Amino acid sequence: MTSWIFRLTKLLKGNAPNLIRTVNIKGFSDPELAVIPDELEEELQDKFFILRINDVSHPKIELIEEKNYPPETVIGRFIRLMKERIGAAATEEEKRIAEEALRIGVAELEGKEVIE
Amino acid sequence: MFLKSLYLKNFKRFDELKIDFPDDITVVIGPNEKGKSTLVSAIIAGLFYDPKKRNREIEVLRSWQSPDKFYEIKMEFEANGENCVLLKDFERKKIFFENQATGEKSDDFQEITEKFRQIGGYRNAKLFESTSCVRQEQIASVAVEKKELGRALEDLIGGGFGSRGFGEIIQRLEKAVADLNRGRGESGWRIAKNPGLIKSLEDKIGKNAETRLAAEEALKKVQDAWLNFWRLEGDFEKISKDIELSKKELENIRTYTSLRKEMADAKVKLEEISGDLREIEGLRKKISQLDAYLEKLEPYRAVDYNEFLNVLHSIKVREERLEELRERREILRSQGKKTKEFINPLLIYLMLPLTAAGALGFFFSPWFFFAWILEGILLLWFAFSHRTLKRLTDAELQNQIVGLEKELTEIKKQLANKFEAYNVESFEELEEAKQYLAQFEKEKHLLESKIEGILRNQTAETLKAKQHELAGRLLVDEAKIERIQLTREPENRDVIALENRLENSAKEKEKLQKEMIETKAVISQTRVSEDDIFNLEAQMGQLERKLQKAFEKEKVYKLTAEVLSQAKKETEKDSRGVLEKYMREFLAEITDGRYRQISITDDWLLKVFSPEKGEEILPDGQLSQGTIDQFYLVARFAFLKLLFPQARPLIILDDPFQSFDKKRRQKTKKILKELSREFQILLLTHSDDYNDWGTVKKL
Repeated sequence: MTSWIFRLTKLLKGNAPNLIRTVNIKGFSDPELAVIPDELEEELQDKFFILRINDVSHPKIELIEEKNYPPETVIGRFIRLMKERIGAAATEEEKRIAEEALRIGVAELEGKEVIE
Repeated sequence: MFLKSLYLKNFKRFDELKIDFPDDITVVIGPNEKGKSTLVSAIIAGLFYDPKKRNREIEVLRSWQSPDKFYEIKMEFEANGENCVLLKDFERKKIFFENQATGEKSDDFQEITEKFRQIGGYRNAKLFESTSCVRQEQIASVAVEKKELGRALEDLIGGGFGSRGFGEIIQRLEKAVADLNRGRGESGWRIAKNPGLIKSLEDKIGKNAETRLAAEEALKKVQDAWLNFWRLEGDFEKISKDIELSKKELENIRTYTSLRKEMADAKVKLEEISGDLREIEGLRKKISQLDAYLEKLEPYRAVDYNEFLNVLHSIKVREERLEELRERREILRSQGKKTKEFINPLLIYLMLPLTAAGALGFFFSPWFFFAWILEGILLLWFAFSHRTLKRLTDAELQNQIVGLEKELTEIKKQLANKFEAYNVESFEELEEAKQYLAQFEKEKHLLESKIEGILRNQTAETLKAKQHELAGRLLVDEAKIERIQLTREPENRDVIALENRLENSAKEKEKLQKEMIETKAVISQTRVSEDDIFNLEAQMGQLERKLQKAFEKEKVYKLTAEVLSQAKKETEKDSRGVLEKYMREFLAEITDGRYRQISITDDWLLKVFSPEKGEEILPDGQLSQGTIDQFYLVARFAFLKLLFPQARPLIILDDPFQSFDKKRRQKTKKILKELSREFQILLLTHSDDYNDWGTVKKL
């Protein structure tokens, strides 16, 4: 078992073959350490009766770099527009809201369900 | 820029593999499970993975034969006529890049990645996979699932990271905003059963505010009650002290009055006792005087006054006899006679009562006549005995007188001696002494009775002791009065005023006590503390923060939707022209010359101009599915061109034409041939049907 799976497995402590468990991965994530819920579920399926893993983590703002997203794509354009908004924010609250909107938009466009 | 060759060592199923690629179409043919997909993974790992890192994507690519070993990937590129080599040794965690034309070298992953982004447009693995890798299922989703072409194109320009469409995201954002605001502004019967977070928080905040207001009012009431209680307590203590003072004052006055009265009584009594004692003293003095007199008169007590009286009587009798004899002698001598006879006086004395008694016989009883008989007998006896007459001579008289005179002188002498013995000169004096004695004794007795009356079964010593005690008590009382320290002499009205004041104060105290009990009851009944308010405030703070977060969330969702729409609009505007150009270029080929005009609407609907109908039509209902699939394929190329306008982008087609019939495949071959002038195409297939599509490489 690979080390990162081992770490995640530790998070899933209390596992039992008759246990139904849903794990929501929240917070800011590093794309380098991105979790693929389907693969992880498959990896750990023998340890649980039912295991559902939902990745609702947000990418860190600083890791959302325009250069990784072409401006010809909606996500690329979205990131650039949002970064403009963040840069032009007059207040901390505006900035915070714009940053959160950026995270949510990127996460959703990348296929994660982060809208509650 | 195009990929010239790929070398793999210990990469999954391949111990070692080297493939050279032409700049146009390479057809990699191999049966299933022979490594076609591994080849795609190798290209992705070679382009994007950092050999210094270890993650799932990197680890799963290890050699099947030597799982403990990592792999090596070497890629050769040609960019702008310059030969470049990229080597990634995952076993040794090394990376190396060299531009063999310029001699430029680098072993920094970030620097190399940036270089590939600039010259080849390769940004990240996800984007590459979603744009440059066309898999069979993607074509199939359009072909088999009847996915709208417009939607497929929309997904394409979305960035292709996920399976979710833009519209779905906007809908979810709008729904999230609506969910947050659900129930807001509704009232009465229209209140939502499941209010949204904002409404729910606003309701909770309102309720909390109401609860807090009620709690604050209750606490205020309790605090007021406490203040009132403490005021009442103060008043109670004050009035209690006042009562105590008044009581003490009243007691002082009463004590003072009582002492004064006692003292007055004591003084009166003392005066009485002193008076009595003085009187007793005076009486005793008088008694002493009387005693002195009585002592002097004591000898007269033993005097036999009868003896004196008898003597005096005998003197008087004798003197009367003497006088009588002298008169008789004078009479006799005056008559010149020597002798004189006269009826016996005894006879007369006897006859007269008998005569009178006999006379009563006429009136009462004849028995009284016996008195006359007895008288007669007596007369007879006198007569016969010659006692009827008496005879008196001068000599006899003289003798009798002399004898009497002698006798009288003797008696008088004896009497004088007796008087001398009592130091008196006469019987009157003796009698006077006797009277004094009696009088003094009487007086003494009277005085003694008076003293007894004054003492009233007491003794003078007892009275004196009482006098002493009273005097002492007076002194003590005087001292007590001095200690009481009244400012002025109390009057009855003072007592009345104090009693009234005490009564009023007692009533006031009772009233205060009742009010205190009622106030305490209010306090004990109200179970609100400052902690409750604090907790409510803390809850309110949390709720307000949550509400603020909810509003922020709403703003975030709205902003996300707004900017997403803007991004989509701008992206569509920029990409639509390129897509239309490419589609138009291949439209005649795809539709066998049926349509020559194609346009993409704002709603991502493809419209073609139908010469038969003379108008633009929607192809979804009018075109065959095969035609639509080809449109999609062209759109993918068009989109790649959009992403890599300058470079010669690599596009990997992972056996996407399995479901195409022979005719359509031929069309597709033509299209790919055309496209290969601008793209490097890598077609992976298990079929030999594609042998003439390009340079064949067999696995």
